[in-house]
Amino acid sequence: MKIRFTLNGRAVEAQTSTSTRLVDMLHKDLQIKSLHPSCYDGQCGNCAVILNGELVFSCLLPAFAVQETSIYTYEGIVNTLEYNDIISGFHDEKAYPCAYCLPAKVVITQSILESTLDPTEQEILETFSGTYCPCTNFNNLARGVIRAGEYRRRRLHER
Amino acid sequence: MNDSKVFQPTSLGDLMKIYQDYPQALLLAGGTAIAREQKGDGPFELPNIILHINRISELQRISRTERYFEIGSCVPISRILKVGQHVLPKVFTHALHNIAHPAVRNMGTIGGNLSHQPRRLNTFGPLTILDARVELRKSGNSRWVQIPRLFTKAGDPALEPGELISRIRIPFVDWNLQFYQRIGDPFTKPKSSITFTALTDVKKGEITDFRGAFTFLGKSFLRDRELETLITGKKVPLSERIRSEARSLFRSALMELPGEVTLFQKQRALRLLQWYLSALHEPTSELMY
Repeated sequence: MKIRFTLNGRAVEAQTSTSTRLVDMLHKDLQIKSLHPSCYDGQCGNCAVILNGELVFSCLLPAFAVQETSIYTYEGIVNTLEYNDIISGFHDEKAYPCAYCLPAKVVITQSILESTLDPTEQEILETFSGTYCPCTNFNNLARGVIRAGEYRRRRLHER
Repeated sequence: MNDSKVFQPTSLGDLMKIYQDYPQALLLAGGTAIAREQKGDGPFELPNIILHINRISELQRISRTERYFEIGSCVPISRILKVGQHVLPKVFTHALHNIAHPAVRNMGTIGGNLSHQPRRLNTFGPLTILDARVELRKSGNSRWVQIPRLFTKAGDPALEPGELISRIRIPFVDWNLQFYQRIGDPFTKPKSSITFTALTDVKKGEITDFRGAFTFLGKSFLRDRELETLITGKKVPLSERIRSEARSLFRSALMELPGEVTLFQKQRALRLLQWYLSALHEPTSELMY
């Protein structure tokens, strides 16, 4: 089955079986190496992507579900000003996700900030509750997300 | 493995035509519950014909009148919470909040949660005792039914071939005590998880109305009308005699549940009901959760 969608701002087309999971199509067929297919049960968050502006876990979706949609992964966020906001916020609050977890953390943070630049700690922790990560202090991470929101608000205000 | 045939209609009319031709097709909107039933990694195991119904605007509408809230069956859980958080019954929004986490709620739909075949999920209990109704449509025909009518007594789907849930209608309610509790995860801990939903109206120290429902592993659902009748009309706090009678009635009802419900779940349900009945009081500004 041909799947046509926008990936990180570019139109792409993939040929895949109807039973293929989205995470596997992105990771194996489209070389999105930031994704780490792990639990295949929507429990760890390492397959997080932004689909039509909403955070989803790509291990739970069949590839055909993204026909004519727009997907952003870590690769579409890194090298942007949005990424700088997030990393600055993380570092200010001493949130240092490891290299394995960082892509998912960035994607999830980006999805939060696309919804609001002034998230509460509760909203942030709830959004991250679907992830499993032993490397990061979640309180620091939450404060890092809030700080990233402040950076982004300032940057957009200064335009 | 042969590829499934996937239809992705974009209008309700197209969907109904295709579904009439392929009534055995799997309807897939968010697909989260279906995905979580699959164990292990690798490709999904899907039937031969799939109807992907997530792009049909008629099934994604939300509307309200003075008397009820109407939600299209393919509206994601997160959108229902965004739009209806402050107007929908608390017992229902609490059940929605208890569905997984935000990333799953962005994908999962109300119709999928309600109609999931292998097990009764979060919304089934609350929508049942709220007297919600669903519209079932098939080509050229539609009807409204109460939630329990979606399944047979044995817990199997009761929809006619080619029929699907299009809308859910939830009446606005005015219960002064609303309670929802989910213990465990039906997917990861199926032999110990239960949900309990209760609506109670207490006025001037008397229970003027009471409804309660439990869901267990798989297809089991329990709502005991005798128990509800016993509790209604009694003063709060309930006397030990009434609570003892309630326990006996409930124990008998639990004994009639099918074998798939474990003893642990039955004990859990009994303890939870006991706690609830002993905690009933004249409502203050704080709702019970």
